[in-house]
Amino acid sequence: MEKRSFKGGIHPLYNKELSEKKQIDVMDDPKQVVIPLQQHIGAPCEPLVSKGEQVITGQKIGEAKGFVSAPIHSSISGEVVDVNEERITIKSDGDNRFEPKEARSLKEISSQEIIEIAKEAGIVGMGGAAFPTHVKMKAPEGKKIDTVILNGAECEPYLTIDDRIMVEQPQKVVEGLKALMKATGATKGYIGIELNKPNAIEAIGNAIQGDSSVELVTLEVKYPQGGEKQLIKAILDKEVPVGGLPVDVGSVVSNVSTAAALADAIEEGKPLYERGITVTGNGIEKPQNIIVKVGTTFKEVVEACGGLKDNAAKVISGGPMMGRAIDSLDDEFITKGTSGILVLTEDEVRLVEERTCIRCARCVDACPMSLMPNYLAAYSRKEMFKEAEELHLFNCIECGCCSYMCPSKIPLVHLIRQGKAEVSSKKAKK
Amino acid sequence: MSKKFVVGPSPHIRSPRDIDYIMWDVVVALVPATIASIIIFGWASAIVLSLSLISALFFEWLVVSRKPKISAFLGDGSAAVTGLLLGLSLPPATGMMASIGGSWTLPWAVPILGSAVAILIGKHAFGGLGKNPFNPALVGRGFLTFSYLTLMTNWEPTGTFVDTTTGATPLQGEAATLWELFIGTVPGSLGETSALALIIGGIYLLYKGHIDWRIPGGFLGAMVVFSFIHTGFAGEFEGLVGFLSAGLDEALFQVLSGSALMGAIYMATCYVTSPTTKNARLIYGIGCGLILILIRYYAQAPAGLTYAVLFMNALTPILDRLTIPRTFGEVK
Ligand code: SF4
Ligand code: SF4
Repeated sequence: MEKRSFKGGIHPLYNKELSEKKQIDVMDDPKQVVIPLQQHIGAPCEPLVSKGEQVITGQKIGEAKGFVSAPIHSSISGEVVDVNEERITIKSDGDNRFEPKEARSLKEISSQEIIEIAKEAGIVGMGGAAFPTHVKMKAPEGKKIDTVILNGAECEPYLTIDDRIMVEQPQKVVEGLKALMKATGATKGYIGIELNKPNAIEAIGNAIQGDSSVELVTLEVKYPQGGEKQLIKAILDKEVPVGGLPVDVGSVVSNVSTAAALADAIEEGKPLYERGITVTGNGIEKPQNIIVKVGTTFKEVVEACGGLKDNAAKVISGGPMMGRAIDSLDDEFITKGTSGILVLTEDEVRLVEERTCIRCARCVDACPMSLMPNYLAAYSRKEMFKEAEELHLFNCIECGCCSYMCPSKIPLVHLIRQGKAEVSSKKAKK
Repeated sequence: MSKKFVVGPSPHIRSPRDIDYIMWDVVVALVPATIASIIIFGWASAIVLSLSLISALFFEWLVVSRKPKISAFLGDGSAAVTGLLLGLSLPPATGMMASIGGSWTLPWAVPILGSAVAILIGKHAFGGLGKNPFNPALVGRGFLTFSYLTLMTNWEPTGTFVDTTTGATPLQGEAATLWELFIGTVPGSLGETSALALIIGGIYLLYKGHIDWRIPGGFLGAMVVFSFIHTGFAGEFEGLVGFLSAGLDEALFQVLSGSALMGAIYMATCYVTSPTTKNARLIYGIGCGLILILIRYYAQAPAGLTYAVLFMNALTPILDRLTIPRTFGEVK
């Protein structure tokens, strides 16, 4: 099969077999949900409910304030027991009452209406960054979108939820893609899938049969194949300019789970209040793919998957390459952007001592952005920011390939990230 | 009470290949050359290699471990690479007292002295692994060549198991067939005569991703191209076919003889002292090969490889700076 790709990248151990064959389960409703008013990107929402109020599933409880923001909805029915600046807490009444909004058919609605539905349903990018989808669908002044790319690469090791979504709900994914195309005015749609997902390739392939505006592209298995810029390079052979966005080359990239959620919003009138995630790792009893309500604590999700093993040592929200390590299961909640919970064992997280750079150039060869991570990290560490900026410090996508490869275990991407933060804060002060 | 977990920056998984893994793998890649050397040169080789290897480990251990623990003797593998490379680049005479007229101590001290210079001056005087601008094994070799020129160019095939009838190396004008050069039954440095063994090790290193083809490729490519040019100027051939076959003979001879393969595969590819950008690696490889063959044709210096690689080592920082790659999405 054809395998398109990009330059650089790495082949980490994928460990997908822990969960890739597991059908998506639905988790029982939690007794209580804590829904953060700010889910990663954009301005926090303004609460629409107050303590003591009764809400039903799918009811809007927070209104988007800023432009780059999306409203939030209750994920269960019950009573609002607490509202503060950061979160709304709802106690379940056990009924899970849900009154879907009006269901529509893609054929009969306009592009403006699709954008409106996406906004009202609180659809955001579900790959991790949680960027509001309705904002993405509007091309800025003077730019035109002609292509929509769906990211079905799922290049993060361990994670399998996008794979399962494609296998189990291919029609929805394709419907979502068509909706994105209609809303943006794009005439061409692509779905990029890595070759290690033969079932997804088959399912999506069947779902798009007879539709010439949509194309399935098989991709080399390589991290970070699902990075926006890498995906565009692999599929369209175009490079997003330094400091630019996909729209600068006429495209919009969205995740397959996001597309399926958009299809749900249009055809079932269902806002984004639950999502599929992968719960996996050698530190968890029963790795699986599971649909969970937004606002569920990590603790409950972990318990629903058999709980932790005794040697569990590190818990990550998201994938192992770009995810975030959390220190406790109790005050961490599922958000729209949570793609997985990964539990690593003591053996897997043993601390390694950093050694000196031996100039082996593995980081240079691995960098998908053609940067010099060895110099960038060294300059950031020595606070030589001018030199670092000359070497395009800000073009780093923080994929972590460099750190992964380094035989001296130098925390390259961490140093680069710190360098970026320092430069940004200096600029902000000026 | 909830359990607290380890936190830390992403990525949360790391490649299992650390410095030790890579360095010991380079040692593994030198095993064929070591075995070939012992088969061809006999005990002389075994003695020299053991002395240089063990003394390199010893000096590294002295410097690196503050409270020398026996368990740390093997170190991270980098000193083993240096010691073995140095030993393999010495002439067999350094292992046999008879070869320099009955002196007992000097030849055996040579590999030890070489390792001392390589590890103490070539490496640790600059701050240790990763900081040394010059390849330590070549610093050691260079020092020995300057100090013991006669001994270092004495190619008497002492103690050999395999019949190598002459004392002059092929490069010094003695005829050797390409086949002899390939398998290594000719006079020369202990580990440099068998092209076959070096190539096996090289393929292993490429396969494991420890070296980039650009350095050996540029190195040997430059030698091949210049061999053809040289043949062309010499003019001793008939027609195009004659030129091609004479050129090919010459190119194969240059690549297979002396220290070319050892240099291209093991010396020039030293991480610490070679450039880190892809383009610079290619230029650096070409530079090494070109200097080596120019010395062979026009200068007759006994240590062409040492000069070539050390000179390019010196250019490494500049080459890196001049070849910063175009970053993704940059319009140049
Ligand atoms: S984290 Fe940045 S520097 Fe490191 S490989 Fe990725 S893009 Fe390159
Ligand atoms: S991978 Fe690590 S040791 Fe190798 S050049 Fe990069 S920073 Fe240095």
